[in-house]
Amino acid sequence: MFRPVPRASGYFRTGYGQDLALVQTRAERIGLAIFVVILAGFPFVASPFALDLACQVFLASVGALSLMLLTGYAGQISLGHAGLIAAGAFTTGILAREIHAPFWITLPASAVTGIVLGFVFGLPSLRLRGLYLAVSTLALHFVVIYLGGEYETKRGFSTGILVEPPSLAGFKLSGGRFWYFVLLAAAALSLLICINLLRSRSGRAFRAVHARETVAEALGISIAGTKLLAFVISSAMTSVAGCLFAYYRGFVSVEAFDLFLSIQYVAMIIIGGMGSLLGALLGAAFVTLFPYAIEALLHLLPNADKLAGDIFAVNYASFGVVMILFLVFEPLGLVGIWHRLQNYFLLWPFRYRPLAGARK
Amino acid sequence: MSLLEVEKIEVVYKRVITAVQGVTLSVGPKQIVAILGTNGAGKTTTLRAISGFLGLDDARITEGAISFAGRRIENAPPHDIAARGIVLVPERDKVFPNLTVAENLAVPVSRASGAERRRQDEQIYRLFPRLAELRQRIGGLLSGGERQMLAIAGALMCRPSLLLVDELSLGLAPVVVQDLTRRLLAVRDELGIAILLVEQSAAAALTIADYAYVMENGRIVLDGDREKLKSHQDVQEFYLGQAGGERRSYRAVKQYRRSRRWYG
Repeated sequence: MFRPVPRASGYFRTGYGQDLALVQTRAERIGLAIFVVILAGFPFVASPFALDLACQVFLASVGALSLMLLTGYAGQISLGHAGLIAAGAFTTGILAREIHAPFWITLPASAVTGIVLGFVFGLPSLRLRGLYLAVSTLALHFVVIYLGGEYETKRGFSTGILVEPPSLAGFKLSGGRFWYFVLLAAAALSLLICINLLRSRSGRAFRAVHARETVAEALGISIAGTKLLAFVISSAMTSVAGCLFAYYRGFVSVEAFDLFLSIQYVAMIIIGGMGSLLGALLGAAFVTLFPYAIEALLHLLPNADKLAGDIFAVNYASFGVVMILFLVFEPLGLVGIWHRLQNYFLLWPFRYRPLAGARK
Repeated sequence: MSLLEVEKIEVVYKRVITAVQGVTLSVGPKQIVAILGTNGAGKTTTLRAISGFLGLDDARITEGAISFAGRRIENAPPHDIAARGIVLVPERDKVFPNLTVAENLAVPVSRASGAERRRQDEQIYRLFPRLAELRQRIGGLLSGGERQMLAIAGALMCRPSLLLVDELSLGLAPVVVQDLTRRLLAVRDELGIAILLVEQSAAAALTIADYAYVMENGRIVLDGDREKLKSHQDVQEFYLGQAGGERRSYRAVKQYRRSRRWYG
């Protein structure tokens, strides 16, 4: 028998237990189930190229989520996230190369590298804010890239470090589908960590410090501790993403981590929508897939082969234009569009929510 | 024995500007004390000195002592002071605009946990029933009076033994101020905490304060219990505006200030 699937149109939670549940209504549960089935079935129908794109999106999602935690919630700007990914990747590359460390050593080692770097480069945030903080985190990027480049040239890996695929009990872990599920799990785990962190005391402290530092301090929250915690957690997650990146690509080189990558991560959270985890995911997908979409569009034009040389220029330029368009016309980002769409169907055929407490 | 003891403090901003000099005041347990005065008299500076916020403004207590429950607290960091039981409700920007009312109330670091915390939740919502209706509203969408209520409720979640309120009446309609002062009385009676108010509106403050200090130019020029101040001629003339039913001229007020500066 058909039962209607209502969506929650307001706040109907009546107990602490309900407040803790991640999925509220039947509609949400069904939607989530369908989404999971699609994600699980995707690698069995997709081409290797589409599979690689999906993997890139998942990797970017981990980085975007961690940057969203730091910038979107705790309010600390970072332009050094490409440096942190590089730090994780180089930690993995160097350990795997020099002492043939297995992945269960390189992964925690990358996280520790991230924690240390996050702590050190979080310290300026205690004094600096806004643009000044952004410039100081930029230093993180250059330091890591310089050290990585030095290692490459001194050890004679001037083209980059090759990383063996990880192995477990004698089996080499590789193949597109395997990595699809590993990276999907990594992205899902990061999302869960972020959701639960934000609902906890530390998460509220992040947002409180973001909004009103002095009030937060007056209510007994240590600003320094909160900011450093945000930096450390975000850096650790990003570094782990770097470690996965190194294994996935099988190759680490400083060229992969230029400043443009940092800008791309900032673009992800702006285009996705500041202060929303869903926004980080949407932004990661959008920014990762955007260059491929532009390329596909260019191929549709007449005389496509003549334009082939200009693809990079067109890519960068259109990326810049899209960024500006989002900042001007949709500061809430993709997630803003999504919420407006949701609200439209939720309230249809009415246009606005009635005034709270209005008499019927 | 009194709860808070401020002894002859002097506060200097940026190493050159003296804002407060020789201020001595004390707040007893369960007492409501008010500091009155016009703009720039040093009321807020005194409050920030007690709550430890001077360091953020590049100011320092250069002389004197502040002790709370027998311990010295001058120049301690604010979150430390909050943990000891003094919580400040600042003048403006006092709620988190990006958090809901319920989240705003969950932010404060409380010594309570679990069932104790839930009981505390219920107590606060009973004292401020309006907030229970607004639970899921975003802080930035509240009206001025609701914000003030939320800020006070948030501060109470820290379980202070002394609540500092900066400008309770700032930008609020007289009816709302009346409601808030009545609620503060209820808070004092139910939770048994002391309250130190800083106010420009002497009329509002003197309805609930047990004791009050009047500040001018960074000094305390007058103090006494409610009845004494209410009947004091200067207060009537210059703060309550009751002398002869008409307000004093600008010139008279200026002359009064000048004279107080020397006597004080």
